[in-house]
Amino acid sequence: MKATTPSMRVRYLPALALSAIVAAAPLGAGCLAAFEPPPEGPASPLAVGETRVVELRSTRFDVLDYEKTLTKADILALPADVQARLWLLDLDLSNGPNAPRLLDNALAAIRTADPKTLTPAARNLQRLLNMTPATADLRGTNLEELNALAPLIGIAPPRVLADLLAIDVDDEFIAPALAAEAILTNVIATHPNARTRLGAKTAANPDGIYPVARGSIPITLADAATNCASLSTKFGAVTQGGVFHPGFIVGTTSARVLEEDFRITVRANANALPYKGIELARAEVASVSSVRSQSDRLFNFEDPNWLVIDGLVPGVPVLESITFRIPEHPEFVRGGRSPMPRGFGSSEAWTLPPWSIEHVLISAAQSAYRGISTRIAYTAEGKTDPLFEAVVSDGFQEMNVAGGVGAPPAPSYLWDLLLEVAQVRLHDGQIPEGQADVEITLRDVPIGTDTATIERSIRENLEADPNALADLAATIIDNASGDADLYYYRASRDNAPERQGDWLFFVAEGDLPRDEAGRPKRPYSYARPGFFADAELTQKVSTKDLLDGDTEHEKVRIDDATVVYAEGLSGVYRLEALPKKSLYRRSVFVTRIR
Amino acid sequence: MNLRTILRTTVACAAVALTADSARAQALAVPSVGTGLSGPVTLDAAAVYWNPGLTAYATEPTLLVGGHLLVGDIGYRRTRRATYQRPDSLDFALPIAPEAVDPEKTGPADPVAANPVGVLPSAFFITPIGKTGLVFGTGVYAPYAAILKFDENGAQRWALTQATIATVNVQPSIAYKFHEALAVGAGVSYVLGFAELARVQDFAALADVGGALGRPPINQRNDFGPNAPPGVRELDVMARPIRIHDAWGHAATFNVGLASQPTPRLKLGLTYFHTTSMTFNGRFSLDMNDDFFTRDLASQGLQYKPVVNGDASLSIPLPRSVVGGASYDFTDVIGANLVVGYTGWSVVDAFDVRVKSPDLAQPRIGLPDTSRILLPRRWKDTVAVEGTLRYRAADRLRTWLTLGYRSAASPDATIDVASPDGDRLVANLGANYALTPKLGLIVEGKLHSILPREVVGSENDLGNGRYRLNLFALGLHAAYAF
Repeated sequence: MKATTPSMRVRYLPALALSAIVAAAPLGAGCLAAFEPPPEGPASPLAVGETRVVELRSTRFDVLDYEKTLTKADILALPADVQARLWLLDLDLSNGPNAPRLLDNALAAIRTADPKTLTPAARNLQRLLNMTPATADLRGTNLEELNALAPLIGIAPPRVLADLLAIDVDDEFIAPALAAEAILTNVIATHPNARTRLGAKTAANPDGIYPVARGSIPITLADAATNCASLSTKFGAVTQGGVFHPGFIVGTTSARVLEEDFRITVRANANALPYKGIELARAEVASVSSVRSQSDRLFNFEDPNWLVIDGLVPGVPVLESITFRIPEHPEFVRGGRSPMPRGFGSSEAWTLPPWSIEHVLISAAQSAYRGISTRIAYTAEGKTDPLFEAVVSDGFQEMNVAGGVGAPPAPSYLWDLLLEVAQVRLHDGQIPEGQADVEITLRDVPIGTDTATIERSIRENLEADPNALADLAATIIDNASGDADLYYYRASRDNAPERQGDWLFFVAEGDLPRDEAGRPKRPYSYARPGFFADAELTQKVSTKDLLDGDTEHEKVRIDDATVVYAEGLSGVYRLEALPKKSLYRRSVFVTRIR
Repeated sequence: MNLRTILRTTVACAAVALTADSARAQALAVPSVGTGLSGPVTLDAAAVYWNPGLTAYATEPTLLVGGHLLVGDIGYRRTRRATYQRPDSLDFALPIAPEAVDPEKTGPADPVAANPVGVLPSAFFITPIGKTGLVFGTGVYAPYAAILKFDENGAQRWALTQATIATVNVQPSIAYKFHEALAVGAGVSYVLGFAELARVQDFAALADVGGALGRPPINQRNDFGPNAPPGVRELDVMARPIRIHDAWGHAATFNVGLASQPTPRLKLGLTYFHTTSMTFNGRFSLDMNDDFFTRDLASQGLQYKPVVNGDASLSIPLPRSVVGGASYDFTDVIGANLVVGYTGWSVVDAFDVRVKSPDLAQPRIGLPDTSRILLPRRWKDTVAVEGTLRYRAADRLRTWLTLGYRSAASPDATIDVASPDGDRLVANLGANYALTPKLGLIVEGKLHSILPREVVGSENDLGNGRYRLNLFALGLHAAYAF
């Protein structure tokens, strides 16, 4: 009263003054006041034995061609799960239709780049790619013996190395194409997010998880909305199934896919209002999204304007910059010295994670030289017996020197030799071991598809994925609130007369309220979902029989005075339908019985 | 018909119409300024208002004090002649789905009635200023003060459920007699009005709502707006109770009167009441506590607070009018007055109501923090004729009987329960008894009653039905000549 007295005085004084003037006593009594706001916060929990009445209504707000525009920001604000399902394309890094030999061309370009323009890690890669027998530094490798042996046999070590590998002394040890293949196979294809992607949940693929073609990375609409900046996170470090992958995209990725004013406009036909239900624990009204139940008719795919995309860059979108990084193992990794396992050898590099540069190197070298079988021999002038002889059989080399002249390198696979040579080369300039990561930066690369294809892809993917569409629609028309256990539904007049009218639906898992990330806010933990004829919940009266396309929900038809029982999250409740006062409303007595 | 009546009427109209399409027109306007005999050709202190020129004939200071007790009987029985949706449906464009048609919402509804009661005091004083020929006058009067309450759930609730109206006028005047055959006077009137009202606002009738529905992003063809057809009106969701409260208005205007007494038995008078405008400023409170507005469409950009409060204002024109009359004493016992008037109510085409609150703004769907409600009135100019027969029953007792007619301002198209107007018959029976040579006591009874009015041509079926209006005022005044 102390708080209200002054304001009351202020409010009524003028009126009272006026009423005094006119001697109109009723005036003061007739003063109107502002409406009192309703109490805030949820109702108190329903006590055992307590009854409350809840009025439910089934109001439809049917909108046709309801237009919703999603900007870049809107797309990025969608729940993560929805974003992940908005797949656009698989960017083929190996040999896409508009970007043939994307990665190996990039590697080839690195070879001739001005080292001053490269990062240290990129220069490391450049050194590897440009490594030839002529430029190889054999010190510290198992070929080091050749340096001592060569003067004795009169053959330069690079020549020996080239002959062993059946290449010229100025040829690269590993061609860019092979390096690219090794990277694709070992680094990129081993990343969990480059192996599968989310897509349409269908009968044939109920999980909606699809393989990604080897050599490709999946791009979603959300990635495009960030100009692919999200790729460094998406393809960054991840642990899945206990297996760690350090990721392979670093730095700032940029692309020109979407203009700043990019927007997707969808037109939906829907009842925009939620179903009104009851949160049993409090016996108060809550809303259940009606959108998912309408997903099959939300959009008219026959209308080309059901989805309109504006703001795609003209022509072929371009990936302006993307950097792949391959980490180096912390320690120098020796090549193997054994022919076993056959075709691989005994180098520790084979046991390293595939995404390490050592594993990539030995894999690439193995791919290049695994089929080589040859014999080379160097004979001193005027002699007939070879002074030096090497035999390569399926890539495994054995060298012999006649007459005890020096000590030849130990037998090994050629890739064991090259692994060591490459590692030494990587650390030119006294780079410490473990810090010679390599990088490949692709610039101004067409992403392998044009704008029209992207638009078609968005459209086709959404049309083919009702779940993603429903998620998108549920986001567009997010009309749920509260935490209902059941809701009121009026069956359409298309049903048989005995199935028309009022129904109670028990919520299904898909009806649970969701958080901002699109995840259910609580588990679906009903012990006995549905409606029962008895308080002991032994005689179920609800079914999932088809009604207006729904077979997901437990449902029961109700009339005046219908009584059913249902179990909520914390208690059992008696529900008594009261006589209807209007067609689209139904009041229910809710009594908690235990 | 007189300015006081106009002001009073307009205040009432404005107040009631503040949120609604209500306009009281002449509904509660009873010519209760002064006594029933007061008029443009009656020389009493109330001539300050009726004809300030006439006060120039005053030879001594005169005081008139008293008032009226007003009792009203306003009745309305709405007849719905159109097809309506069920109130719990929500089709916002025609045609209505067959299932949504309400088969019971047709024909006569339950009648509603209101019985306002008010006390209307007044005081007038005129005095010659020496021998200058000038006469000064002043008046303070309350033409209307009462509470009008209808059934909150009645069929009329879209027009009005409650109104509280009170006005006070203050008017000084000055007059000068050039000749027995010609006197001129003028007065300045200040009107202070207070109004509160409540009704159910049909959002289907709001242009803003229709516009927001029709524009991107919602893009829904709809029939909402001021001319919304009955089929999309009166839906529960769109029925939002609104109250205008603490609304104060004021206006100033003037009147000029000519008077003439060419013969001792004949008086002539003509008064012009000037037009002006009146603005009410107050607060509004809008009950938006429905899930539709508070949360169901929040993701679409539509989310109001359960109660929206803010400022409200209304500016309305006050019409000009001309009142003229003649008074003739056939004998020392019997005389008669004839008064005719013309009021330019056609200036009132619509009321322009504006409400403003930051809580009204719904920027995502293009609704600003202000809303404009145009309430079509399209009133007609009115004429009035009143004849009075005066009879001196005794030396100290004078009586009179007035009968008259006033045409209606509200056309069938826009009439509603807030302006239960109609062709009106007026009757007034009064007596003035001289207690002393200087002190007279005036007692009178007035009755205004509209002819039974059955409306069938209301636009959008808003106000069809039968209207009843009877106003009775019991007056008691004292006149004292110094």
